[in-house]
Amino acid sequence: MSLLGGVGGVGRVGGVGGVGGVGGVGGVGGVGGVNFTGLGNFIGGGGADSLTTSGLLIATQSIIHTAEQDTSPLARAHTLPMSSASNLDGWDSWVRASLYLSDFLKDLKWKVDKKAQSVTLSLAGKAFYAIERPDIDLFVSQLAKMRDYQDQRADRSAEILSQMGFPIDYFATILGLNAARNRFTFELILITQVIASHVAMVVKHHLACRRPDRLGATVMPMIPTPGHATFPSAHATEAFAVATLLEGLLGTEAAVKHYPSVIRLKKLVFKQAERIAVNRTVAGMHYPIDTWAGAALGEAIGQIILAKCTKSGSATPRHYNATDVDFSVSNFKWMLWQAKAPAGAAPKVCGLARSDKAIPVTSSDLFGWLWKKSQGEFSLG
Amino acid sequence: MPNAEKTHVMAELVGPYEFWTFETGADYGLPPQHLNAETAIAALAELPPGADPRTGDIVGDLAGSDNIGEIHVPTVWEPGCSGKENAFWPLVVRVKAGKAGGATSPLARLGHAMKPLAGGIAGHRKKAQPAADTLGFRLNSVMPGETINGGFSAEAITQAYAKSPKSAVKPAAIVAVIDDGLPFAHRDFRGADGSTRVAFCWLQSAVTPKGQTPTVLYGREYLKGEIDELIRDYGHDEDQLYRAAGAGDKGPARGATIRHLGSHGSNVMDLAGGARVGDALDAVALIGVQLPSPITLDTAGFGKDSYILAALHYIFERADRLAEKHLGKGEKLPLIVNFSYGFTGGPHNGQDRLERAMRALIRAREATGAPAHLVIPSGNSFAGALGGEISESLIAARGGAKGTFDIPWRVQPTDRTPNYLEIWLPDGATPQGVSVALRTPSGKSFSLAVEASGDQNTPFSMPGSVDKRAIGQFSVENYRLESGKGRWRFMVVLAPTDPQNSTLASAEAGLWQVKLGGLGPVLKHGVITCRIQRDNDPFGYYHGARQSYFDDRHDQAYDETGKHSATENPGNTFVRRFDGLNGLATHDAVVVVGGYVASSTAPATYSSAGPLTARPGSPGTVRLAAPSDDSPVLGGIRAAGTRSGITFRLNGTSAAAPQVTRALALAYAGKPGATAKPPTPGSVAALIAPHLVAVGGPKDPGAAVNPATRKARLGEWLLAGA
Repeated sequence: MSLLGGVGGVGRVGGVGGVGGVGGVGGVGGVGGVNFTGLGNFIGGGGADSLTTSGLLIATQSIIHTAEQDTSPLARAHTLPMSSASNLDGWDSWVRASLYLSDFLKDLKWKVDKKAQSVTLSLAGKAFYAIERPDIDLFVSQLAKMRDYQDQRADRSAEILSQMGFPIDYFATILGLNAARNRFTFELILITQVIASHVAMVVKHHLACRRPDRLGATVMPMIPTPGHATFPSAHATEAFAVATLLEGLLGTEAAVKHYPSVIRLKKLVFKQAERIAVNRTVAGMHYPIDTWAGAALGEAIGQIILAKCTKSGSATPRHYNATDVDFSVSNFKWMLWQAKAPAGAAPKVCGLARSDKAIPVTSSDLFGWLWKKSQGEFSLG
Repeated sequence: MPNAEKTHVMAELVGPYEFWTFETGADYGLPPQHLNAETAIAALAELPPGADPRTGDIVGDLAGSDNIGEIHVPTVWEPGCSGKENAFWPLVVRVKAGKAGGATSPLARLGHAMKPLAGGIAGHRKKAQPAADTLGFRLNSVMPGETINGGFSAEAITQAYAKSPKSAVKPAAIVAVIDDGLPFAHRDFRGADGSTRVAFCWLQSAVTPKGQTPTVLYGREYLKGEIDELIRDYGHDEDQLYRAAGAGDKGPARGATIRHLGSHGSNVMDLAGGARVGDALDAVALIGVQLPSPITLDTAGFGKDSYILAALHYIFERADRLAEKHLGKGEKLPLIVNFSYGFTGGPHNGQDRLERAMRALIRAREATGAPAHLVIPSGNSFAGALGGEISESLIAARGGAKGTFDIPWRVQPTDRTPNYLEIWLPDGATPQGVSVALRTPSGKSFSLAVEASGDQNTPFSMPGSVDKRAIGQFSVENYRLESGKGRWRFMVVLAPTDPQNSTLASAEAGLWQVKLGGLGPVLKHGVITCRIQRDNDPFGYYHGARQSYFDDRHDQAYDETGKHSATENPGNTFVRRFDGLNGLATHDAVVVVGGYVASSTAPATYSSAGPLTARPGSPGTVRLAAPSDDSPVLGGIRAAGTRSGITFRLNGTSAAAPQVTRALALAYAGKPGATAKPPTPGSVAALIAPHLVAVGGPKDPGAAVNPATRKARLGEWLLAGA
């Protein structure tokens, strides 16, 4: 167990939001099973084993008499500030995770339009993500692209198998993040993945699009297909939410001082997000359009989280109506590399249209606290 | 197919491999290999001097008759077609819809369409040439229609190339690579100014976009200027770069190995011409040719001849343009062509049709005063039990009846591709009186008719099978050598043991026996050489090929320490490890490179060798060796993958050859910073002498191990590792 295990623990302890129960969140080894941070069990808050409990009882009884009869005067008792982010330091990491998640979800609403075959997500009443359910024939025609990717399974199997949970190492390596120094940056990345996963499940549930192995006889995935719908890809949502978050982090004064190469790092982070998402196509889990839908959702979630963290952010509403193209980060996030949009990024071609009217996002003291903590980890230390 | 038609087709248009693929075993092929009523096919023609398939007297007749045939000629290097000897032409033959004189099968239609050619060509034939020495035509493999560029003109390149920028550093040598999955935009192929050193790259099965003037007859060509633009626009994302270049994302090249982490061609091209710290190679210009996606071709490796010859013509033609652009009119540059490719079949006397064609081109370029080297790997079949020899002494040692021998041929289960066995009679022998029978693994026998009078192809079915569908083909053929000469070849083809289409009859897996009798007169002329054709999946592709082999109980495949034997079998053994050179590397105009283990200088287990008895340095032997494994545990040689930054290990003599190519290029180009030396023709060894150690000499660390066979395996020199 670890800091990450704490998230899985939410479901078990408090029953909040069913976190522990969501496949790929609490259930898959990436969260509860792999000790990304190097921390031990819940520090100071670990479960008690029966031997220690017996020992404590005996010790209490044995020593209590030395203070029980003391009548010396007491110092004044202080209270903790009420409803204050400053208390987060004292809460267990899984409790913080629970709080961040609730904070994000309290403003999230969705509108399902069965007639128009679409779902629209909004935050505090402002729509930020509208997606149309593709025609089943579009999924079928995407199977040919999946067949091409299938030949790369041998190339990518190590990545595919180690990215079944939240592939945090694949980002941490790029930024040189270290468990001892960057525990709050890990916490920020992790909660971004958890939130992205939850929101993706909402969209998946309503659009209810069928997995490639149901439509194509020769897809034959190399790992079991998870028990949720295909569109959008949660891996893409998570990866692009993290990439967007890290892009914001790399834009801060602290990061610019810390890294001499933030522009390159941003490019690598987004290319890695593409790699993680496309690996799911190689494995037989996802159509390329699932990645487009997920990347678009993830980017919006990343923007919202950044806005919650920094008091000054906003989110770009977007609309996705899938077309039969392959995914490419150079088309999705062309502005990192080029001044002018390539032909493949045109909404008519790729199906994704970003609005130029950003929506405001209210900041959150909880996210603000975490942001400040992680900023403190980039101190040339 | 009617018999008369069959004779014409068999004698003049196709060999047994093609006859199986297009006729007898057509059902077993994948759809891209199928001949259709309307089809385009790559072909190779050996034509008498002056016979030019671009002019009316050759193709005029063709357009006459039923008007269903068309011949197109890709880029050719004129001096390679205008000599006093027969010239080898790469061609594309198209057959359109329409009546074909009653011919129904696609192959017969092709035969009919090609028939009028004979007249046109006959007009050019020298009087001395025998009448039987007719077309010298070989139809190769089907070409996806969308890769052929309508409106192609060989002159279009002049204008296109004028727009392509010059290299920043004046080239002093040209390295050309013919391979698969070429990463032409890789940073190792860029010069100090960041622009590419790849002057020309031809992807033979890419699709030229509509609206772009084609500079090649089929596929798509990229000039330096276009590659530089691709790098500028997409260099940040090489996945997107190759996608935007149309290099394997769609069309017939779909699923190409450029999409993988590593391809055969990425490793080979990087070893041949990739920049290294200390080896900037700025004065080495590159030309790349990517053969058609092997997905469309047979695993035996035939069917590529026309593409390979076209690649060489293209390379020679473009090399002259490159020299002229940078050095002035009439100037030439040394050219080193690396072709890390091969197969195990063929006559092994330098007389394979493609060998003759390649040799003629190299000699023609040398005749213009410009150095040209063709560097080819020795092959990877030393331990494969793919070669065998029948001699009088073998039959005597085995105590068999005089003049008889049973060839033990082990065919593997779940083999999705056909198996080919070539039986070569010695020079001067004829099939007169020879009997051939087959014994299936389950013990049924049946005899095959040998008609010594002429070429024949006979389909055969499995004895006792209900449907009588052909599961194989037996052929007797006087294989055409140099003009007027021939050598007799029997060939047995077996259908896959596990066909792609499971409704088809499969050949039985297990130990087949080819029972030969009446060999007495044949063996008076020499030994009978048996060769199993290569049946391997190309690197990065999966066809489900499983290599068959000779399962001879006397074969001492392992030595007393349990290692693969490095020596020849004793005299009572059919299987031969020596004389198993790459079938494309047995002529005298090729630098044949074997592979050794760098840590020990021992020959790599797989590295093929010429005959033990051959004089070192003579045609058909290994000339020199380069590392092909770093050590017994670190197999292969590390070089570039398909994206800038990826490296991986590739083993096999394919990785040895390009190191020789590189050494030659560096020898011509001089060290970075130094002025390029003027090109001087010279022997390979003299050029790269400082990097060579004489095999068996005082500086050869492995000289004491198997000294009797060392030169046959490694040639005369070891090239120090890159």
